[in-house]
Amino acid sequence: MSKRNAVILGAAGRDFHNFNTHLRGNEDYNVVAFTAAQIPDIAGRKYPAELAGDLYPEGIPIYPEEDLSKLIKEKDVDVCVFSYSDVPYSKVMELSAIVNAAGANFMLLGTKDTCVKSSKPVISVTATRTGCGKSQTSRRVIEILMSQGLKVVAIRHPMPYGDLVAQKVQRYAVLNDLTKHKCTIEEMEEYEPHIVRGNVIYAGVDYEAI
Amino acid sequence: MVVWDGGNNDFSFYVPDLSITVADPHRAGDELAYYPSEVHLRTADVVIINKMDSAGPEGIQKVRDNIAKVNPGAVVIDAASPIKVDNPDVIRGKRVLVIEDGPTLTHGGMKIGAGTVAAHKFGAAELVDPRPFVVGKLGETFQIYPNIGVLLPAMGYSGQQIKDLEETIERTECDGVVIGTPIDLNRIVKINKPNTRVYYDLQEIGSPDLEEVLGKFVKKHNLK
Repeated sequence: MSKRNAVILGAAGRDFHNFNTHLRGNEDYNVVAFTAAQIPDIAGRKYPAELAGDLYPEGIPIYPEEDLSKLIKEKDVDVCVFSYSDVPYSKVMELSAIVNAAGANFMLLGTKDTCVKSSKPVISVTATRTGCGKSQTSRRVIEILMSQGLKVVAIRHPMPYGDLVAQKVQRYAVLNDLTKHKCTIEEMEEYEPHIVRGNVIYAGVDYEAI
Repeated sequence: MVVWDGGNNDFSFYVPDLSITVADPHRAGDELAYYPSEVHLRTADVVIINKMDSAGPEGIQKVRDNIAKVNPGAVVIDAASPIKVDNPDVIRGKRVLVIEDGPTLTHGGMKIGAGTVAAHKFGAAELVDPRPFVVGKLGETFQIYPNIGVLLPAMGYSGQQIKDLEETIERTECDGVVIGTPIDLNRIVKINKPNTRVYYDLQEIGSPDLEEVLGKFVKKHNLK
């Protein structure tokens, strides 16, 4: 069976994770592109060969989402993997219609194919929208666990907006680490409150490596 | 132990041994209308209804009903995130510029944030509209997200955006600046106006609470 050409629709968050966990070493697929929206200045870059694995020695290009229909036709795309979050159902189906109309399948990956198994116990803090209060909830959870004498680290959802190879695995323990990793304000908003409380927080691009 | 500190409304990248989902009664209904909120609402062991101090009873009830509909076995914790500020005098009776966390105002679609709540709580005379003073790439943000209104999102994905943020704050004609973003913004940009930071922590209301839930978790997994 020939490989299925795939495009990953994402914005430097779940997209790279979906690729790393389900598609990077998957011989059934040939990922021809990522498409980006939501975050400024992501399109036009490349998911680098160093992270993309042996099947992608040239890396994988990132195009603006408005090129999607054209990409599907030009690159004979079979499947588009939706990898955004915080999107209304109507927008998900709008993108699905664009993808289906261009001839490709529309895919949503589930937890089984994308959740990494940790050797340490994991408590996840998620939310129903951006800005619900995850950060203060995570801090409260960590504070309670630490008060019980447990050693706890936080791992943050990715925000890799810079040099992806350099950002593969990041560890933040002191405020200077924010400068060292050239953090954006958006990254600092998430890491700094942990650091000032004495927690260590990890983030990056490759969550298996983390 | 690992705590997965999620982003947006995305589900965890790791298999959780305990799954906690935070819901927002200010945006009641979104938990079943935004992808992938419903995925982890359905799989949550614990759902926290936050912001109960500032949300209306209808929104709170709607979130409760939606949790009961898709995940009746979840432990539901009531909570609030009360705020405090460094210096209330920067706000009281003053015309203030309110800076909020960028993603919350942009793709998060919120029309208020911690800074706005603080401005009202501590008696600001007026929230000054930054739009006439906006420069550079920040202008594009207001074009893409016109509902941001009179708040200034702390956009800083690039060096240029940070410069534009600094200049916009400088140009805005106001008495003081309320910093609702959870970082020490003075470390990143030079603010030549009186300013105050806003802080908020999670407070559970009544029982069950997180101490109870986590105590059981620690015991169940023999972590002590």
